[in-house]
Formats: sequence, structure tokens, C-alpha cells
Amino acid sequence: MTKRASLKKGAVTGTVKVTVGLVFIASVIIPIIRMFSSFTIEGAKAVIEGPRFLPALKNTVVLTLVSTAIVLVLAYLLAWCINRSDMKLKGLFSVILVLPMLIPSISHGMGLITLLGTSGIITDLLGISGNIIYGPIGIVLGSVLYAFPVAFIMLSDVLKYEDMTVYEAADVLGISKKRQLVRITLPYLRKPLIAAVFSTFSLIVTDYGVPIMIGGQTKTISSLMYEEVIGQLDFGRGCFYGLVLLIPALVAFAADILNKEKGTSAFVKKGEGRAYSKVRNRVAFGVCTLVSVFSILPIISFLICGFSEKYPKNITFTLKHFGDTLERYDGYLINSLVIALATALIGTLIAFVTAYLTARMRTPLSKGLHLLVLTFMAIPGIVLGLSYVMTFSGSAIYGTLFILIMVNTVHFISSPYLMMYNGFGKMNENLEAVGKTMGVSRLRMIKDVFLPQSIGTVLEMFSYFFVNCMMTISAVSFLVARDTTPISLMIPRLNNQGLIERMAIVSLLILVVNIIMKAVIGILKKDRWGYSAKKNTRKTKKVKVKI
Amino acid sequence: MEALNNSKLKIEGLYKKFDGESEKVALNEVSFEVSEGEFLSILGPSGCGKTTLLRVLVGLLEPTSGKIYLDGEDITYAHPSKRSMGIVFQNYALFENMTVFENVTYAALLKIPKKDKEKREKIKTKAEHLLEDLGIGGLLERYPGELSGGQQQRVAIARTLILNPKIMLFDEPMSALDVATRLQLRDIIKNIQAKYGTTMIYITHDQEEAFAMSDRILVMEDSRLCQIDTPRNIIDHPANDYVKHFVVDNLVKKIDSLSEFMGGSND
Repeated sequence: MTKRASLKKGAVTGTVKVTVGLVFIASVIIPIIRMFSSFTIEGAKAVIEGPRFLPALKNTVVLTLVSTAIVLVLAYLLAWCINRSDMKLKGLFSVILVLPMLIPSISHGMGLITLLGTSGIITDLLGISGNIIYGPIGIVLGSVLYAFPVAFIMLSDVLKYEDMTVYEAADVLGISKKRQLVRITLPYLRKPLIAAVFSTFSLIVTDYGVPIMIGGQTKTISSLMYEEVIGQLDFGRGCFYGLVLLIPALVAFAADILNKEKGTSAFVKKGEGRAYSKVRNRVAFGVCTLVSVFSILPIISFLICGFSEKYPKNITFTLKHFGDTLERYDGYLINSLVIALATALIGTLIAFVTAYLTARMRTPLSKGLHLLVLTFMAIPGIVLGLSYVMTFSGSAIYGTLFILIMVNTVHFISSPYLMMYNGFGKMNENLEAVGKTMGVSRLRMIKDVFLPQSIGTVLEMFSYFFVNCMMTISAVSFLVARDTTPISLMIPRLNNQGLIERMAIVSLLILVVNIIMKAVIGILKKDRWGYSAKKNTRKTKKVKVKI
Repeated sequence: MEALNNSKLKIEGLYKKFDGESEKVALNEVSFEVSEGEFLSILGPSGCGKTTLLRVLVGLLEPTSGKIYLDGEDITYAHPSKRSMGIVFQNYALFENMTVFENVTYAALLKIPKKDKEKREKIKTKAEHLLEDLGIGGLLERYPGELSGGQQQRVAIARTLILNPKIMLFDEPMSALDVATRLQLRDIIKNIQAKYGTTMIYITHDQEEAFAMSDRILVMEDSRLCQIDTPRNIIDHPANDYVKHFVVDNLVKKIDSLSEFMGGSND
């Protein structure tokens, strides 16, 4: 190869990166710009001066902050119990605690109503009458239920990989436990904690499912946006609310990026010489039981509600609603499955290719592409959905399943992309060089080496896309046509019709499908010789065979 | 420097400046020759340009200017796979999803059509022999993750050798290994060289390693070549103060620190 030929090759990969970048810009940035170009100062002024905006803004800020604080305290507490105690049933608790992640936010609201609403299961049991749950308390409880699993997983990972040798050193030096907390634990937690705060905050602030379900007269910006667009078809106001929602998301995103740029944290897993403590185990067990019950109760309430003759008046067991739901809404379920499978396939492919381009072929262009994909994380689903309405209405893809698949792909791509990017980053940096010197082409290397080594991550990406598509009610909500509606969107509709038994069944269906997907992925990951799956057992072996 | 009759590799005025803000010069007019079957170490501290030199030689980087000839043929811009060179990295870079045997045979088998059973069998037999020579004949079905660092490095060496490279390059292959494994691997590499007659270029920052293994040593400092000569001549006639300090003095220190325990063998 001459010098020129190799330059040409660099240009080819550059072109690929630019093309991928342009596709992303066309499918996200342009719609967003298109949406905000219809925004006027007068329009904004009218909204701000209107009677609904300021109270909603105040509600949003206060309720989101309160919910975020509760979520983080609980998540840290539970993560600590799971990772720092020797209690029994850790595995079971870990599963139960993340189960609420598999149902839509709106279902959490519904579950709370079934439990604590007027003549709810618990309210009746305790003999409480009157309204306690509709409004701010309900919004906070629902948001906590909905956002807890994400924060729990993030913090649990942090505790799992914390380097315990530091504490051993501190003990040897005679540093008190209190000082250890202030000087070691908190500084170590700073970065992951900031990340968890912003993830939780963004999740809650952009969600409209909980507030429309249980908020009653208490409106938030996202529930107002939903009402304006779906109820009033007022896109102008919708845009303004969208812009407001984008602000905290962008701030959170910027803070998260800055947070990541600063310094590196060494995650070393190290066996902990923790003293066995009965008291600690009992306390941990108690806390876990309590929170697990709280987080699984709404799901149990679906079982009661969905299989009752007429909830709450007559709770005789019946399969009537189950049969009705399956019969009437099977088309929606199929829509959901098609959307979820297609998005998972396409999304995983795009995320894999993009991550390869940015992580394994580093140039200044890759850095730009990387940041572009991460920016998508900051765009709330309903904002993205509205921008698609305003950009694509009237086009051939409008009202098709394709536009739903497209909007879900870009809406959910950041997290799986980041998983794969980190996965590629951890692989040996000389693999390409080895391939090059041995005459193995890049594509061959991807097929024979990179793909098999990352199969665990690929499966995780697939399931992430799938699960999120099954339960999303955000980006898709403004874009569906009669025959493309996914089953998750039946929940707000059934709510309007007061068909709560069917709502419960739909929530359960989504949950069951997602559990099946998670289980299948889990089995596939174990069945392989699976690098990631077997890695841990390998590591222990490695010590033994060392010469 | 003595005249080389059987020059294998000839490097002329290699110059490499990296693009970007730093515009760092990593190689500054480096010229030398390597003869057939020679073991040449490139010795220098971190950041002196030795890894850049290796990457330019093997074709992973292009020089800004200068020429590389292999057997008289200009390979300066040849594709890495067309240079008959193999490279062994410090961190092994094995294919973790393949067994030891698959790691070694993978690239070689790719080039042979599935129908050609006879040739494929030959490759497999050769791989077995190579792994036997490297002392890991019993680990064929293991995965890299199940091996120690020293074993992994031997797999990497076998994987390179099976393609019959004219020149094998090593990029600090033992930096991540413990002392006992290093000593063992030294012998293995020397034995392989004796058996297959492969020309070897070996990068290291360890003076002792360079002196123990090399026919000649190339000392680098700050992107320049300081001296290239036999270990003996470097000790007797260091080209400048830097060579004297970095190579000779450091070795003397090591010997001194040991001699008091070793019965004064340093006389």
C-alpha cells in the first residue's frame, strides 16, 4: 500500500463517521430545531402569564426534588444492605427491587390508586376515608416507585466495586469510622452520587405518567405538556413546555459530562474482611423486606384488581377481564412486540456500530460523534415525540410503525451505546494492530473477535431497547395512529374510560413480557461460553494455575 | 560499527512527527541495520520513542520521512500484513473468546480454503509443535482468561510464529510478568530463535534483560539513536555520558548491590 492509499482509507472511515453523525443529526437535532423554530416570544409570554404555568413549575421543582431525595436515600440504604451485609435472600431482594423497572410509570400511579385511593385495598383495610393519595403525595410516591430501581442499580454497582483495601488501611492507621465516612466514603461517592442524582432527577421531571394518573388537580410541566398536546392539540404551548423540560435535562446532562471529565476513579474489587454481625444482618433484612413489599405491592394490586369481577365493589375471582383484554387488545400487544423487537434489533446494531467507530477508531471525529449520541440522553421522550410530530406529519412515514421504531431507537440509544462504548474501551487496545499485522481484515476481526467477546453486552443492549419499548408512553404517545398503537398507551386511554381492571391486566401483560425477555437474555448469557458470563469464575481459576 | 554482510532490515533516516497540537517529534533521523537471525534490543526509558519506532517498523504508523528496506525491498508504506513481520505486545492482546489452539491457528487458517484439508491439517500440526516448543502443549483447549500472564505471552508468541515471520518484534513483552516468569520466558524466546532462526527486535527498558538476550543493543534517548553496538562494546566504550549513565552505571549498581551476597564474583 502506498502512502496515498492509506490516506484514502482514513478518509473512508471518516466518511462513515460523518454519515452516521448526519443520520443522527437528521433524526434528532433537526426535528428538535424544527420544533423550537415555531416558538415565539409572544407565545411564551402568554403561557407564562397564564394561570397554569407558574403553579405547575413550582410543583415540578418541589415534587421532583423531594422525590429525588427520597429515592437516593432509599437507594443508597438498600444498596448498602445488599452489598455490605451477610443477610439471607439477597438474590431475591435484588430481583424484587428492580421489578418495578419493567412496568410503565403510569402503572405505578395506577397501583397506588388501587392500594391507597378512595376505597383502595389498604385504605379500606385501615378504615381511612377521604382523599389522601391524589395530589402531591401520590406524585411523590409514584415517582419514588418509578425511579427507585434505576438509582438502586447505579449505587449498588458503586458499592460492589468499591476498593475495600482503603478501609483496611484506614483501620490499620487507627482512623475512626466517622472520619472514614467523611474522608473516604463521601469523596469516593461524590462522582457516582452526582450521576445518580441527575439520572433520577431527569427521569422524574420528564415523566408525565405518574402525575396524569394520580396528580389530580396538581399539575406538573410534563403533565401539562401532555394535556395540551393530546387534549387540546395545542402544539405551540406543547413546544414551550417542551423547552422548559429540556432545560433541567440539559443542565443535568452538562453536569454529568463535566462530572465524568474530572479525574478518574479506580474501581478495584477487593475481598472485604467484613466482620460478621447479626444485628447488621437483621436490620438489613428488615429494611429490605419493608422496601421490597412497598415496591411490589402495586404489582400485587394489579393481580387483585385485574382478576376481580368489578373492582373494588366485587372482588370475586374471574378471568373475564383477562380474556376481554387479550381478545380486544391483542392487536396492540402485537404492535408492541413488533416495535420492541424491531427497535431492539435496529437499535442494537446502530449502537454497536457507532460504539465501534467511536471507541475503536479514535479520531477527533469520533469524539464529536460520541458527544452527539450522549446528548440524546438529555432529550425527554415527550419532547422528542412532539418534535417528530411537527417535523414528519404529512410525510410518508407518519402514522406508520416505522416512525415509532425510529423515535424509540434514537430515544433509547444513549444508554446501550454507552454500555457498548465502555465494553469496547475495556478490550485490549492492540487487537486491531494484531489483526492488521496478521492480515485479518477489520470486518473479520469484528465478526470473529469483537462480537463474540461482547456478546453479553449485545444481549444486554437488546433487552434494554426491548423492555423500554414495551413500557414507554413518552416519545410514542403523540405519534401513534389507530392501527399502530402499542399496548402501553392503552393504559392512559383505559384510565379515561375508567376500565381499571383492564388497565391492571395490561400492566401485568407488559410486566410478564418483560420478565420473559429478561429471563431469556439471562439464559442466553449463561449458555454461551460467554466471556462476560464466565469471567468471574475464570478469574478465580487464574490464581490457581499461575506458574 | 562493523560491516554487516547479511543485512536483513535497513532503516534510513526515519523521522516521525505526530500531528496535533503537541507536534512531538518521536523519531529523529534514526538509521540502522539488522542482520539475518540477529537479536537486537532497543533500550531506552519511557517516552524515548522506542515504541513509535516499533510501530513504524511493523507498519502500524507511517513515518513522516525516511525509508525501511526488508531484504532490499522498500516496505516503508507496505501494509502491516505484507511485511512478513509479527509483533508481540506487552499485554498479549489475545483473542479472549478463542481457545489457545484457536488463537494460534486462527489467522493462518483464514488464508487456506476449507476444502484444502491437507494444508489445514499441516497448520494444526504445526501449531501443536509450536505450543509444545513453548512449553504449553497441554493447554490447547484453555481460554486465555484461564492462563497466567507468562502462559498468555507464550500463546501470543506462538500465534505470531505460525505465520513464519521474517522478523519478530517484541514490545516490552515481559513488563507485566513476575521475575521468575521473566527468566523462564527469556530462555524460551532464545530457544525459539535458535530453532527457527527468526530475526528478533526486542523493546525493553530493562538494561539487564537487554544485556542477557541481545546480539546487539540499540540505545535510544529522546527520539534519537545514541548507540548501537554489542553489549561488550557498549560497556567498554559507551558513546556518550547518557549511555554511560543509563546503561553502564545502572548495571554496575545492580551488580554491586548483589555482589556482597554472592561471594565477590564481581572482581
